[in-house]
Amino acid sequence: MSRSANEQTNLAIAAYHEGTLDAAGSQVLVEALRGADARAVRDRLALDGLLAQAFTADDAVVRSVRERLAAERSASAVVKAVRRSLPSRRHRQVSTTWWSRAAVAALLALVVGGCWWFTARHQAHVYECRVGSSGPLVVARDGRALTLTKGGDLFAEDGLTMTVTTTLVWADGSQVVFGSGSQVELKRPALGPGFRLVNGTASAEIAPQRPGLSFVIATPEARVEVLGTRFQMHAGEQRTRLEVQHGNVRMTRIADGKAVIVGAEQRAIVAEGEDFTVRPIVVATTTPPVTVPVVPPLEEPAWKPLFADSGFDGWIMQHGRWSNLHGRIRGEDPHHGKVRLLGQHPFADLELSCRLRITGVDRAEVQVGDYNWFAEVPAKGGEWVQVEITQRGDALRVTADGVALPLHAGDGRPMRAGPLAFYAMPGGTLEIFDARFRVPVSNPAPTR
Amino acid sequence: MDEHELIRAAVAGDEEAFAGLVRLHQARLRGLVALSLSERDDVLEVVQESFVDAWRSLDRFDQTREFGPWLRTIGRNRTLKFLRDRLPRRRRELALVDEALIAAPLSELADDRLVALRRCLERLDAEHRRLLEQRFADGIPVQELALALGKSPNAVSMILLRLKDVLHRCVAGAAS
Repeated sequence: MSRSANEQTNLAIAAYHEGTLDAAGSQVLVEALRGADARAVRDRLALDGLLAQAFTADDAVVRSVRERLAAERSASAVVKAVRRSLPSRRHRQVSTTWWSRAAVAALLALVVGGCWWFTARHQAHVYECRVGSSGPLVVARDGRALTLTKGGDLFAEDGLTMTVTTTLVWADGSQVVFGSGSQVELKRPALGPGFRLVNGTASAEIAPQRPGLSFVIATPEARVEVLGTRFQMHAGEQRTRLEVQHGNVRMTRIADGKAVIVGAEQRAIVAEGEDFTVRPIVVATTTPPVTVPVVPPLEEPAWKPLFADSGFDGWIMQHGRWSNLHGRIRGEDPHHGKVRLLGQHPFADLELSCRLRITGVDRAEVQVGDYNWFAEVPAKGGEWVQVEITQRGDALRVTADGVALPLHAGDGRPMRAGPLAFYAMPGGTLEIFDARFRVPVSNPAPTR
Repeated sequence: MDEHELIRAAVAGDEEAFAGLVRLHQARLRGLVALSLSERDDVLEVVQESFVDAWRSLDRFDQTREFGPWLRTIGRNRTLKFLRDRLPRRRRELALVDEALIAAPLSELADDRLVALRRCLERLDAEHRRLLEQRFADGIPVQELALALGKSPNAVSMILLRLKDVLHRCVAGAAS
C-alpha cells in the first residue's frame, strides 16, 4: 500500500471510530477490506477496540457472566412459579369462556406488573451492608428509624447515619467506606448506582460500570460521575473535596455546571471562593511531626491473632485473590492487578506485629486509620520483613526490621480511628504471617 | 481443576466450574471479538452472550474436542449476528464498512492479539499508557484530554496516532 493510500486509510479508520465517516472514507475502507492487505487493515481497524479491552479488568467478564446466569436462574424460577400457579392443562381446555380469558389476561398483567416491581426493587437493593462491629447503622426508611448491623439490607431512598466507620457494598462489588458521623442518602439507580453524601467522608473503590451507566455521588455542592476507580471525598461546611487515587472521575460544580476531569493523584475542591481546578495531591514524604508518647500501660493487654480464623471474618478482599494456608495469609492477582485486604474494625489505639513477604514488586503498603496514613514496606528481595505498628490516638510509628519507615499521607487529615489495610502494588504477591495485635485496655476515642 | 475437569463439572451444571472456564478463555475471546467491534461495551456484551450460549449448549459439546475453538466459533457467530443486527441502525457509510468487515478474512493468530497488545503496552512509558487508557478505556474525548494536558486537540490526536502506530507494529511483530 502506498504512503498516501496508507494515510487515507488511517484517516478513514479514525473517522470510522469517531462515527464521522463520509462516503469517500467509507469507499476507501471498503476497498481496503476487500484488497490484498485486508488482514492488515482489519488489524489496524481493530486496534481501538483491542486497546479498550487491554485496559478492561479480566474479572469484569467473569462477573458479568455470573450475573447473567444468576438472572436467568431467577427468571426461570419466576416462570416455574407462575406455571405452578396457573390452572392445569385439562382445566384450561374446558374453560374457554370470555370471562376465563379475561381472568387469564388479568393474571398475566398481574404477573408482568409483579415482575416489573420485583426487578425495580431488586435493582434498588444495595447488595450488602457491612457495619463496623462496635456500633450499629441508623437508617431512616419510610418515616421510621431502624438500626442495622452487619449484613443488613438497604434500599433506595434510605437515609443513613454512620455511628462508626461503615462499609457499604453494592451488587457490582463497588465498596465505599464512610467515616463515623457521615450522613448519606441512597439514590434510586435508574441511571446507575450511587448516593448523596450530605455530610462526612467517603473512601470509594468503584467497579467498572455497565454500558451507559455511571456510579454517581452527589453532595450539596458537586456531582461526581465515576466509571470505575479509587478515590476519596469529603463533604461538609459547604465544601466538597475530591481526591482520586486511580482512574478518572468527572466532577461537576452544581452552581454553574462547570465540569472537570480529575485523574489519578489529582484533587479538586468545590467551595465558594475557591478555584475549581484540578491540582496534584500533595503527598507528605517525610514522617509527620508526631511522636509516640511514652505512656505506661494500665494493664498489659494480651496479644491476639489478627486473622483469628481462616474465614477472613472482619476483612474485605478488595482486590486480588486471598487465601489462608495454615495461618499464612497470601494475596495475589493472577492477572497482575493490585491486591488489597481491608479490615473492618476501626482502631484508635493499636499495637500490631506481623511478618510480611513481598514478591514480584519492590514494596507493599500498610495503611492505617482508614487510609489516613500509610507506610511503604520494602520487599527486601522476597525475604520476610518484621513489621511493627504502634498507633496511639494521633501518634503513629511503623517499623520494618526495627527501622522506622517514613509515613505518607493517604488523605492527609489528622490521625483518626479507622480500619487497617494491606496493599501490594500491581503485579505483586503479599504474604502476611504471624500477625498479632493488642489494644490497650483503655482504648480511647481519637482525640480529633 | 484442569480444563477437562472444569468442562466435565460445568456440563454437570456446576456454575463455579463454568466461571473457571470463563476465566481461562475470556481474554482470547475478547481479543477475537474486538477484531470486529471497536466499542468496549459492545465487545463485552458479545463476549457475555457467547459464554451464555456456550453454557446453554454445553450438553451438546463433544468433550473429546478442545473447548477453546468451539467457544470461539460461538463467539464468531455472535459477533457476525451483532454486526448484522445493527446494520439497519447504522449510517450508510458505516454500514458499508461493517458489511465489508463481515466478509473480510481474520488475521492469523487473531486469538492472541489481546495478549500481545498487553505486552506491547507494558513497553510504553507510564504517561503514554495513561493517555491511552483515558482515551480508549475511559472514553474521555480528545478535547477534554487536550484541556487537561494543556495541549491542542490536534497535538493530542497526533500523539495518540503515533502511539497506535507503535503498538500496531509491535503487535504485528509479535504475530509474525
